[in-house]
Amino acid sequence: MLAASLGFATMAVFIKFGAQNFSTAELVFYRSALSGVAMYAVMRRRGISLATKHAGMHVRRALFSVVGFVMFFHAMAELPLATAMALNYTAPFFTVALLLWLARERPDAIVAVAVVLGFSATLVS
Amino acid sequence: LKPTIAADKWVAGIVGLLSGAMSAVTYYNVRELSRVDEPESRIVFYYGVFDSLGALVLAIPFGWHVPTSTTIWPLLGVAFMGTLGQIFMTRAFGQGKTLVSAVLSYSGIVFSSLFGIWIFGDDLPWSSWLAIAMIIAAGVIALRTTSRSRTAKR
Repeated sequence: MLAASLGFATMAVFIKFGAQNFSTAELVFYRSALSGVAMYAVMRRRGISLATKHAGMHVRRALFSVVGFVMFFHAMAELPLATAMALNYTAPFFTVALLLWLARERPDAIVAVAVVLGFSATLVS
Repeated sequence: LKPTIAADKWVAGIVGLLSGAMSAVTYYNVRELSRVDEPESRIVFYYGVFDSLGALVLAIPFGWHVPTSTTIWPLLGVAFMGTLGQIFMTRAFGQGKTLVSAVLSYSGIVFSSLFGIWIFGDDLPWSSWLAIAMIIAAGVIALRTTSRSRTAKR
């Protein structure tokens, strides 16, 4: 996850430069398009088929992430950037809720403290 | 980040909050796909296909800007780093503990702050350094509990 965050933060730097010439939706398009093409190549190489028994889950995963980025962009357009970012960083709280609700998994109390500490940091920063 | 919000922007505020909820749903969906043994590459592949179609539909009303040899570099950077981020995120939520990964996602603020200093010459106020320390502490706390429960299982 640390590597993922480093990747996304580096991407954000490129977004700053790219935003001078392209709309955010265009930037998202290039990002997702490369993800698709690169993974297609990986799958060919490893002999992984495109066919899946879980098409519905893939559609759901993609649908929620499209809705999520549309909402995030709307918030970024309407609100101060810091506010939009802080609101998006509430995600771990919703993760706790989803784990309780759908997976009946109680979070470790200490990890819950870490969530609160991490989110407080976004407010202080 | 010191969020502020104008009174008349409460709808945008709720939309922003829901964007956080959607991220959580995405984490959860990735975890579920991994649990039914979908390969990482297939998870990222279908995400790429559907999200690029979604982004294409959204991009067209704003006008399509054909990249030139000078403007293409940031695009390649966004695409390459975004794809790497996506692969690692899928692995984190597929194989790691869901909530620990969620806590570690706050490290994005640390990396962004450091890039701000190095690349954009930002001057960080003391509060940002405090936040960085808090995020590192949160990450260490979350990681220590995982390694402890792992030892307990053995």
